[in-house]
Amino acid sequence: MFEAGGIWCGYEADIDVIKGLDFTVGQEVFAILGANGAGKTTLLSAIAGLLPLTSGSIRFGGKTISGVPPWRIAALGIGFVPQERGVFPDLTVLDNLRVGGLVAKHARGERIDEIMELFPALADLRNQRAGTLSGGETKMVAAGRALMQDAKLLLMDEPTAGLSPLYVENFFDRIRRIHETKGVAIIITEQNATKALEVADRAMVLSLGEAMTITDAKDLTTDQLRKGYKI
Amino acid sequence: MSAVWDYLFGSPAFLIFGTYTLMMIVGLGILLHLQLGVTGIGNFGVAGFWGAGLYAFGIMQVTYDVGFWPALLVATAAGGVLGLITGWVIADLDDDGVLAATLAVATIVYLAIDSEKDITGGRVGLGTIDFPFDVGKRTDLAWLAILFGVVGVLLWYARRVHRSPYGRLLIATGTNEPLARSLRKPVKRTKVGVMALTSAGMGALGGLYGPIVHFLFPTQLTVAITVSVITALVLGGQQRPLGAFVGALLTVGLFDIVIKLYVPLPKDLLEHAFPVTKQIIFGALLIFVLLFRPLGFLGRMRRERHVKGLSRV
Repeated sequence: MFEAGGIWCGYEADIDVIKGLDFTVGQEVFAILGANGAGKTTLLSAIAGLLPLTSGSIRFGGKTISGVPPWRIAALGIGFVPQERGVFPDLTVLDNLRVGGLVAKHARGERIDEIMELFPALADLRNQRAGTLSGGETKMVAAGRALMQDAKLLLMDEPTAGLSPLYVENFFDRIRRIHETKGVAIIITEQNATKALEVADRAMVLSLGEAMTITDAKDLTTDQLRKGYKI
Repeated sequence: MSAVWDYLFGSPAFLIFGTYTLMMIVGLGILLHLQLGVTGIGNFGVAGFWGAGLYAFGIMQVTYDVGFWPALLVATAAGGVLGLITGWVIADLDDDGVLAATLAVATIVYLAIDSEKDITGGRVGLGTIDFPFDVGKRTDLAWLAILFGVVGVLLWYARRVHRSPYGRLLIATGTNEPLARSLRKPVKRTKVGVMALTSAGMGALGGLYGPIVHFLFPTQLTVAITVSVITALVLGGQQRPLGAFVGALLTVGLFDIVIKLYVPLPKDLLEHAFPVTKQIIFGALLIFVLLFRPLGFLGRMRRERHVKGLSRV
């Protein structure tokens, strides 16, 4: 479904943050773990088309998507939930979801109902401006908005960063539910390795832009994790 | 009763001209609201788009002896084409770049009109432009009614935009452009489109201003127009369709109509100290608003509404 082959990228011409990553993601929840500065956000931005590759290629659904503009990548079914600024603050929750919807108008209502079912807390907030929501609620809107795109693959960049423990627990449950009920493949970056490994099928430990390990989540050892986090 | 009437409407020409100016600022402010308050395009060249329409109208009427409606159409097109080109240029610029580029457009328009002589008349001016109809003493009042109607239509349109999917697209583009881009929204086309459409409106307002002043001079296109519109919009509330109206009442309405017409100031004070004092007060008001109410007196745009069930989405 998704293949990254020898990808290099970064923010300046001569400084690469991601250094020759090779990995594939199937119909699964794939966790990318690593400390601050490991390159998790950079990697997701590159997949979403927001950052050009220096070399290598990314393929999705049999098509090469590296070098393709972000809006075309979105049209192919890749939804991106950025770590920050994932909503339109001046629009209501409902309008945020509508903006995300690429589906037909009649189907959009049903899709919104599904999102509200997935995140019941949003139902009461649907007419509230997204800019006035708490961190957790904002992340739910961002995730819901990405799902409105009819995403086949969801890229979630540290979706629980800065959330209270109660929200974290709840959010990971939702992530698993999104995958199981909607059949959406998910690539999730996280610093909270324990929680991410509870919902992930496979995981990659990233350190300074290089993959230390790619393995089944249940097989990941503390030593492998330590290498990535440079503890 | 008669004394009150005389007091209020004793100087009808002055009152009507002041109201013309007020409505012009409100109209331009509503269009700027769609650019700045909704789409996040900081247009500092309002005078240029308005002036392009004003002079296109004047040139058509005076130099080429074209009738009112074709001239107004050319004025609208002039603003629209200038907006289209400007929109294309600024679509990928950051906020500072947009401010500089739009100011540059207004400066180019001013310099072109000021330095050209055969078509625009240069500093000598261009005239005369008359009202397209004559109903005797009531002609200026009839024109004012038309201007009220045009501003009313603009206000109605701005409010409709707020409630429409198009408005949602504009707000999404204005508040989080990278996210809108990643959601397959045509951000560049949206910005170019809104610039073309609203600038066409500014051009049309310029055309409608021609018969009011009868004679056109480049000095009518200075940055003062832009500053008045921006001041009114920022004071009233840049995110609200009525923001420009409230702001214009507080600035042009209060200072250029009420005080000038109804406060018995000595002539010397009115001619010399008043204009300077007015600018100082405007500046102080702007600082006050930006410090304590950054979104203006009317505040943030209203998106919240009563939704009668999700089946309506």
